[in-house]
Amino acid sequence: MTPLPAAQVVIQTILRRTNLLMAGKRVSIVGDVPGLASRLRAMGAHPGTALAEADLVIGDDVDRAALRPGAILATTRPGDGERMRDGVLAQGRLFVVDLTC
Amino acid sequence: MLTDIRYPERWSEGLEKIAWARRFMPVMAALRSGLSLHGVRIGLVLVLEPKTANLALTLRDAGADVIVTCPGRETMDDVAAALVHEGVAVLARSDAGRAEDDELARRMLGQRLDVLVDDGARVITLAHAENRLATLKGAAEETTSGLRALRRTPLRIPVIAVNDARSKYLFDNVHGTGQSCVMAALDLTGLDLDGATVAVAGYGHVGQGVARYAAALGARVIVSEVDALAALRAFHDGYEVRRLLAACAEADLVFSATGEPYTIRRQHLEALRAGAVVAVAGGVRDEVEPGVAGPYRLLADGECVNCAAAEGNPIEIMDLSLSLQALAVGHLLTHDLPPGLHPLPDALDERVARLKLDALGLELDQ
Repeated sequence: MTPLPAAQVVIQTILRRTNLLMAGKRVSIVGDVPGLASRLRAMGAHPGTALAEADLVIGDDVDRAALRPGAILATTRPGDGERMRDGVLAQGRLFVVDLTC
Repeated sequence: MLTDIRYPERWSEGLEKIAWARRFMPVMAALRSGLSLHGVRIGLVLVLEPKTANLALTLRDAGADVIVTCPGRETMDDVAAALVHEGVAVLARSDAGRAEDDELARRMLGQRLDVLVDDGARVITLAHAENRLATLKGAAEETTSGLRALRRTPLRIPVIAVNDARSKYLFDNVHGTGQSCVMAALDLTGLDLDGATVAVAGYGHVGQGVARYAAALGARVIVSEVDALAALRAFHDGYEVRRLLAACAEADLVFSATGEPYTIRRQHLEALRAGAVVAVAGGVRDEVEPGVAGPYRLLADGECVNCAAAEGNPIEIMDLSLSLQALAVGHLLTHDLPPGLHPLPDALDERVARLKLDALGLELDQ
């Protein structure tokens, strides 16, 4: 199993892949990335959001069926899907960001 | 069709990026059906990337003839190709130098424009200097540094100060430029900010954003200011406040966030430690004194790092700023404004904020 990268790398990768804003994002973190929630909160995001309400979900062991349509899942196990842009796939109604590269 | 681009064959890559951005631009989508611009010729001088391409397409869909130009260092060739593929005139090449940038702008100004949307006031200034204002009913300016230049210029057309709209500077300058400049610097250098020292020259809206996002990632932030109130504000926001020379001596990363040339001068660069990194988050030429050798690394050749070396501001932020630009275009065409700078009407500013709240599902109290 590939562990999730360090907090800063996770944040950098998501933002580089998506060109999105972190402030205001409702975020759910599945798993343990030390310092990630505090950094996200300091950037204006809302970590601790319930999985079903999150704009952004970070983690590997995520029940994808539980995410809301249009949610973004950032994971080291992206799987297959329709390419949206470099490092971002569409899987059904989810967008998946590849954290491995 | 009037076109000068570098790689026409890259249009599909550009369309992919434009489509992604469009998904996260609900305010622009809400405005789209209400715009009517048939027969209007609009010149766009914006960083040429997926978000601004969506503004070009929105104006085109509203009936306008749109001509886009952009400095070479801020042009994404695939996005330029996508716009041409969609029938928009584009004069922008990533290999253009400063002289070619101006020549492309002159070609755009020769197209009997009704409205000009500028970023940095470069083309508004050029049009004034060379008497190319004949058909222009007005212009809209996007940036702090551009407005600073225009306030020193006797204007012969009305210019709407889009930058001064609250829906712009409270979000674009702070969160958009702040986040994207810090992230661009980290992507370029691999620097871990946890425990690193970041010096920020200037504590206006952009400097506040840079400081906030650097601190959020664990950096110790030192702010330098020439304005007493801004310095006091930085201190009360929890940052150290020191002279730039002293800050440079300790910094791993230095940002210029003033929008003023020669903010970081030879003495500052010579005070840096070996391996220190310097970046610009402001946006005028020569914010870092050019030609000073030393063991430091200047990112993006001293251009604004988020636009010159990354994708610019985040999509949701540009949704607000570019929607304001679209409303400014409509306002210029429906009001007979005298020459000079004009604020964007509060009602339009608030309309953008309310549309964004609606998109977020947030409610105002009564």
